[in-house]
Amino acid sequence: MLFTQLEFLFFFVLVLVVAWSSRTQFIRHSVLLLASYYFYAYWDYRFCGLIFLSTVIDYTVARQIDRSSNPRFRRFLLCLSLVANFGLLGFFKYCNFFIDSAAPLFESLGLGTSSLSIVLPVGISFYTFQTLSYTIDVYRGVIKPVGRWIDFAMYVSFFPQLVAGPIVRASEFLPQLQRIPRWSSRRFYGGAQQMLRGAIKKVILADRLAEMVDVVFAGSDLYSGTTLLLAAFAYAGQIYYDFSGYSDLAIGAAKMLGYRFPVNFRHPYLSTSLSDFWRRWHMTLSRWLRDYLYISLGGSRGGTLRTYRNLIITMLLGGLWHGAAWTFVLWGLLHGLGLSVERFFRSAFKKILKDESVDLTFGNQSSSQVLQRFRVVINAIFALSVVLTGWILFRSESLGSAVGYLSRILTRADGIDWFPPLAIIAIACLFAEHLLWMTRFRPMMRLPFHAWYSPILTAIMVWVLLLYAPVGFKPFVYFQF
Amino acid sequence: MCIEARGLSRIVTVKLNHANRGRDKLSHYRQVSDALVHSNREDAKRPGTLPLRFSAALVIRWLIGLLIGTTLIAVTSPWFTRSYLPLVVDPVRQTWVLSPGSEYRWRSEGYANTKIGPLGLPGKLSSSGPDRNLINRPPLPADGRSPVLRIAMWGDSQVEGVCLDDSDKLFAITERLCGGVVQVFPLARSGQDAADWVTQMPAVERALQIDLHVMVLADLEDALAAVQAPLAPPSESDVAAANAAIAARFPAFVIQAARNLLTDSDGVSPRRLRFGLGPVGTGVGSASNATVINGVVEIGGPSPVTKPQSAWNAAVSSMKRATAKPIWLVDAPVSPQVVDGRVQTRTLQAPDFIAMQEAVTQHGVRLLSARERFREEASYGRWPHGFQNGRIGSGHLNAHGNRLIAEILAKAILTIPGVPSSAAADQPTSALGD
Repeated sequence: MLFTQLEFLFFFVLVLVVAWSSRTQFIRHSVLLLASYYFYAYWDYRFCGLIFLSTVIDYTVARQIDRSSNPRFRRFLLCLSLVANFGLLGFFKYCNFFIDSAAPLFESLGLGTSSLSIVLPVGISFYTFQTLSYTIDVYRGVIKPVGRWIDFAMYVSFFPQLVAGPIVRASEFLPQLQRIPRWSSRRFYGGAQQMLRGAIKKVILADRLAEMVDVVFAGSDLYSGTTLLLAAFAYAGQIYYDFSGYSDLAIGAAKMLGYRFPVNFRHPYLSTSLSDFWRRWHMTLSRWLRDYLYISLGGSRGGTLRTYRNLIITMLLGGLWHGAAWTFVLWGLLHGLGLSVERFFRSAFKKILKDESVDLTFGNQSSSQVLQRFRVVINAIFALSVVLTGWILFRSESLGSAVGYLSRILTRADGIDWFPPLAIIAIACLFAEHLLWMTRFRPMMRLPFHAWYSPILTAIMVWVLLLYAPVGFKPFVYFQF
Repeated sequence: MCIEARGLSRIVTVKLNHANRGRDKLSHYRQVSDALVHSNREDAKRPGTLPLRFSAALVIRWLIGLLIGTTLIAVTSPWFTRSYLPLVVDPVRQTWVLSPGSEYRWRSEGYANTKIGPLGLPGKLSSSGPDRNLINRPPLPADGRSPVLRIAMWGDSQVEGVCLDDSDKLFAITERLCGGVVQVFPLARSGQDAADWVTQMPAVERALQIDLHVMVLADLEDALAAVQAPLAPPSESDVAAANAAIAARFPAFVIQAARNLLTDSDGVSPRRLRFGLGPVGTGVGSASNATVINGVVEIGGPSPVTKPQSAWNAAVSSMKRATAKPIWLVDAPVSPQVVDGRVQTRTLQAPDFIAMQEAVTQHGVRLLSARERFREEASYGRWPHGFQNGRIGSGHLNAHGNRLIAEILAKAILTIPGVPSSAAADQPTSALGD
């Protein structure tokens, strides 16, 4: 079920009524658990078993890890959980990718290959990371295992975040299940507003941009380089609005039910560097990768070269997490290399500033100030270039088409063939939203209940949704991951 | 939000660190829960995040605000929302038409306003040539030859052209290209097919003194419906009657919103909600008689699903029976078309075209085709269909597409013997076509 489907509205209203009228914790959690499984089964009931299996494994393993004082046995249990979770993820998500990638090798050996007909279960990447974070945190002693199975099952399958995040950690969510949330009309209103904003982002802005992006990326041979560049910008807007819109819907829905989710996006295109971008884009994933992968690999503790290696491996695997295709691997590699290059120049820059033998006088201004500004501008341009190139890789169906797309941008910069006015409006909204966030009008964006402009803007947003949503069924981009 | 989440995360982390120092699970969770509640209370104390206290003044403020927002949408909606005009039954044509004298807005592709003329003719308010009277023909000269050829142009929404300015509509360009020797009556109506056209033909022919009928077909299979003519006259029980009543009562933006909410993506069939469990089917059809050459899909050759030749013959025969005047069919398919990033082109070898060609040859009806011209123009990037604010290469005919059809039509009109003002104007108008 999609948050933007009319069916979801009926479903959600019913869930809200039943959840808030539940007297006991057990009833409330049972209702939410059933609702979550129904939400997932609405897409395909056959894969509910996978979530159940993952829940049972990690619930049991975490409890055994906590009970055991034998380090070897605890490590064995952790490995068991890792193998089970990554095994499921690997089979459903990467099996065909590896078969297809190894096909030339098999053929050269005279062996035939054929792809399996495997359906990728929606949200498997997200709930696998959630259950893993729980087991690893219990293993590390960061949290204690949860007492009731139903609480853990609800944490894994809670429908607002089930299919596309945010990746909520057990330490953030499980404590909230210890008592029935207290009704707060302020929080309820805030959640509803956030859902409305998310729906506008997805249905009006992202889907409008998708109309251009889908056409241009599918037939890139038909358009000039300038049009392709504009479509790449449009895709940058589409994926931001699509995913941050989904996150707003998820966070808003959880808030209306009385739960809190972490923030997932913080205006990423205002980033002053690539590392800043990753602190603002899909924050719950970058946090997961940092804490459970980058730091596990050694982080920045083993010297410069090792740090670069860790960065590249982390981003490479982050790319592969997004999708089983070489375009995603290359996208991850590009970001890993970008982060390493940025880190290299940052340390080089620090050395220059510390080096007293270098003359840095520059007119009347403090030389370090000028250099700092210069660095910020260069970093921002570098980050934007990497991000935009990355999005082309991310959106292209194959490496060949991505290379063709990029080369056409560089070699065929004729006039603009086609650029729909509504896409221009959507991109203007992207700029306006990011710029507004930097001004003193930022609180306005949350539409406080007591503010005079809130009802006016609310009415406008509802009418805009009803009137200008593009026709047709457009799933969220991140559903494929 | 961000500050709140960071604060929350910090509190949770601090409490978790305490918990890890050996306290039991229950008290640990209680503490974290307390931390959450505490953080909520702290949030409530912050300016701008006051707890909601409902009062009559607040409710009134919200009602007024919602009303202002709705008014703003109502005022600005004509820039973005198409109009819904009350339909009326035209006494001559005996079909539902847009009310004469009104103005129709189109907004989804091609922003255009269309003035509705007599008989519900979109964009035609006055005569363009020497035939000053739009409806009634002036008395014929002594030799019985009219100085102006009067053409009835039939078609669907592609020919109606409400997404184009009146001067870019097909009838207007054809009149201009023919230099005033023709008077074209745009009788095309969205959603209509040959059954509607053939039903209206006799009455229209008498009222407008038509010399030639031109049917412009975006889909050749629309001609097959001719066998269903004559259709029953419009009645109060028609869907159109209900729509007319709604259009007369509610503003366009309200109708549009209700339509988006209550109908499927085609805007016509009622929306069906599904609450059953998946899996959701993802059947995707494909053109089985299509071949791909350098990214261009050519639809031609034998097709497994075609109507029998007899159906095509019967359709053309129905048309012929409805009028004694000549009939021309103009083939103007939505082709080339960009589908999933590929250019799909319907060739002259497409089965529907071959079948139609055979039928018209049998019945002495003239068939003109724009498909080759469309293909040629699209290869230079001049697409006959689609608009800047829609999708190039799909949708309705744009101004260029209309001009291409008009050129083919005008060329055919001006070269046949019998056109009154042409060099060879020595034959009666009945010599047209047949």
